[in-house]
Amino acid sequence: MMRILGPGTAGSHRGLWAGSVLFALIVLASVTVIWVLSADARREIDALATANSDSSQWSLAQAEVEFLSLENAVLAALAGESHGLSDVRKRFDILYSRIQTVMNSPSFEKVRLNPDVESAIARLNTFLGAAVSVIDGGDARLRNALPTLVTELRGIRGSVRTLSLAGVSVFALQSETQRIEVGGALFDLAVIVFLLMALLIVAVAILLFMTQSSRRKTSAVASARSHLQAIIATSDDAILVASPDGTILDYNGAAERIFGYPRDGVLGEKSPIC
Amino acid sequence: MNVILRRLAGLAVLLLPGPAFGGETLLTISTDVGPKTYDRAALEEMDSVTFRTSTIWTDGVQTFKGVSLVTLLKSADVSEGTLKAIAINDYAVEIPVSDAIEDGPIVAYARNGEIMTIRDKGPLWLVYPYDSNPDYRSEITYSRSVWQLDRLELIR
Repeated sequence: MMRILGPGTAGSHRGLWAGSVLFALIVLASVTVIWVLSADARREIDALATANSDSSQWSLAQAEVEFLSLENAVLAALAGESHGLSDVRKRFDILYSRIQTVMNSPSFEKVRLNPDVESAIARLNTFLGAAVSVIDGGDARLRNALPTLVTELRGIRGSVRTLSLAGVSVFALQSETQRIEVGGALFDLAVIVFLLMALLIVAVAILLFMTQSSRRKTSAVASARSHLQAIIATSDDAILVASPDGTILDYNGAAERIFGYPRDGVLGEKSPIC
Repeated sequence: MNVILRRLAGLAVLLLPGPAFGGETLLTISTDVGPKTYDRAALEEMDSVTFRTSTIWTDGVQTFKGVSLVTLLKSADVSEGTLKAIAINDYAVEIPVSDAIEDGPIVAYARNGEIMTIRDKGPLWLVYPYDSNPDYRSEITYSRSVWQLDRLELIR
């Protein structure tokens, strides 16, 4: 009995290859989605890292402290303290600088939108602008103006208070918004981590399944082969297995007896029969 | 206007006859050795650094010119420890000496080509190049950016 071995199982190889490509594409797509999502979350967190409201609120409240220092200095100068006038000038300049900051700093943009703050800043600015000439004038002029300054300062005390109070509400709202943003960013990250975990679990499951099925196939092939081997070896008919080009792949005991060639001398040779 | 007045006043003082006039002390650095004072001329004599950056306290990009904190601390023989930076308005903050690096903070004495008055956050302002280094756009660095700076004390 003779058999020619067919040209293999190329069809199933092609199916495996297509499956691998599909799997790779799915992994690639998932990684891309996760990368985009996490980059988004990273950007949000970076933005929060450079957020700046703590010191701004302090800075705003400091306006009131510096205002009171000026008021104190003016009262001390009125009482005739020796460095009184230079202290008034220094405290005025410090308050002036603070109000300029509140007017120009981008950190106070939202605070300035508040109509109460707007009018408070306008009143403070009017006072500062009008007082500059007195402050920069001679000592005698400044000394004469001290009682007027006391009255004017008392008049704008409420405006300074408005500033620091407005800061509390605006910055509280701002940090509330920030908290919500942090929460959102962390939630995004949690979703990403969950997706990544799910993807990994699915990948592991697929690999496990593939390993097991390939192990099953291997053992099935092995048992079929040994089955076939047993049939070939114990057959009373001469069996010669050759590939399509005539190379002898197997050759049983009966064939050794019938053809008179030893098995070892024939395997791998071209068969003259084919 | 008041800048002009002050400059005129400064000129008047310079024109006064009498003993050599030392400039007004702008900065005092106190170490274990004792205090060392700097007037404007002393600061302007040192190697200067100029950079452009925006800040969270000013509108638009600013040009700051001053002495790098590294150079300044070197001149006072300070190489490690922590500084307490104190401002005219009594603001105070601790700054590690390790903050003083090349391309790091400077003690600015001019902003946009003009000297700074107290009304303008001067005469000295410790500024960091916030725009060129994202690490400097943090709450800690903002708190270390002392305007109206007038004293640096080495505390340990």
